[in-house]
Amino acid sequence: MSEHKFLPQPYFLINKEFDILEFSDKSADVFDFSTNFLDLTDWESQGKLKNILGNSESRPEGEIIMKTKESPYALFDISVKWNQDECHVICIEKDHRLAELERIVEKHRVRLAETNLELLEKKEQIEKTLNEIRNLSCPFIRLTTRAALVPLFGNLDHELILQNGTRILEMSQDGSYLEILFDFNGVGELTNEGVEAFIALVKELQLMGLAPSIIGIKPAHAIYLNSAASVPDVPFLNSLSKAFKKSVY
Amino acid sequence: MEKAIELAQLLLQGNQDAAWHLIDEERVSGSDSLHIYENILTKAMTHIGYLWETNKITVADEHLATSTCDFLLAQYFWHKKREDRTSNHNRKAMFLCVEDEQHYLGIKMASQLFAEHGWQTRFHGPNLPLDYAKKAANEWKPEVICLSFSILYHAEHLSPYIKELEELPFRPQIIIGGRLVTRYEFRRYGSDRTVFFRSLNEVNDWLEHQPNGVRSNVGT
Repeated sequence: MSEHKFLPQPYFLINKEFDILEFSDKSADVFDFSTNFLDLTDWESQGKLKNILGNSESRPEGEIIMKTKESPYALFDISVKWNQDECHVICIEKDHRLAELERIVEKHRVRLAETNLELLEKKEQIEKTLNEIRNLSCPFIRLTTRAALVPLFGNLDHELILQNGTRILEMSQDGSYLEILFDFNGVGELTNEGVEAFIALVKELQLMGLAPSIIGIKPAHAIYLNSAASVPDVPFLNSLSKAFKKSVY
Repeated sequence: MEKAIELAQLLLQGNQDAAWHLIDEERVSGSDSLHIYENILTKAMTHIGYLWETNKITVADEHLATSTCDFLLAQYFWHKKREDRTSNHNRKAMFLCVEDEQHYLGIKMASQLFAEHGWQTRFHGPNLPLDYAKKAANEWKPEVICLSFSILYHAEHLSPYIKELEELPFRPQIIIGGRLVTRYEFRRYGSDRTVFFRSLNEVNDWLEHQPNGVRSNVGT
């Protein structure tokens, strides 16, 4: 009697036709009896098995789906070794603990995917809110039939003008406005790009026949305005009340 | 096919960022969902199956690729939904894999196609036992229930699923899909009313021919 019988894992000795010549007791525990090794494997794994068994170029090991007493679809690692016309095959079932780990990793993955999408949604909401804040940071207020006030709030950057410039131009044409008062009292930081965009807006208003004024420039703002490519030729007033006295009559 | 093979490599590396970049480029350049699902994602996963069959990768590699692909689908759908101009209607479709079936990417793509066509969808994922499927269907009353399977011996589940779900009082339309439907005839597991789809192309065709907002007369 062959000692292969006592191997602690499913073991088969097969010939070139895949007929089973010998097997271990453990094989009989795990698999239903069959005379041919191919019959123990899932139909979609048979091509792969033939390749592992029959192709000397191929790696002498690999994963195969096998039909066990427990399941018609069980994953095994097989290792093979040919000795002349006989092949020794050891089949080791993939550990069930791996499946449990996969399940846990999958749970974490789903949670991460959900969190990722929630974060994207929050980012969208924040961008939308930021846009709304920018719209509110540049209101167009009608003072009289001839004068309008545009108080700027927050930082004067390129985005602020980009987002509000067209609206201001359109609203300035909707009526019989002559003067547009830009109030800088609520402005915090400035950027060079923001100042250039603002000057471009002022020039466009001038081209359209309006008289823009700039109110409440602080020393920190003046540095940026003076270093701009071209300073607009508009009245600079230090307070809103002066501007009112000048405009509103 | 080149894109699919390139994507397969990224999926096997679990490289979510590069894989998403590839899909997003397709999306931005105007490819529709059907093309992305059928010709890129499905082909990439088919190639990964081929790599397993030729002993180049292991099942563990496949799991990583599957979960990366799942992430891409979720990310893609999120972008799609955001820019979507399709009006939603009140038709409902439910999606599930039969008991023990773990391959859920195909039916997830189908559910996303339904949603992109304005349907309300519920995706129950892999391995949903019949009792749970019936309970969920009874509570939500979908007009359509889509079932998927990819392993041949899971086909034996089809008959009871189809029979019991078709017998529900609100008479849902049962649709069967999965990679093996292309290769074999499974009609004997269904009834005259059961519909079998061999590809996402067929799912899309069916959706395009549905009158939105009006209950179809199939099986009623």
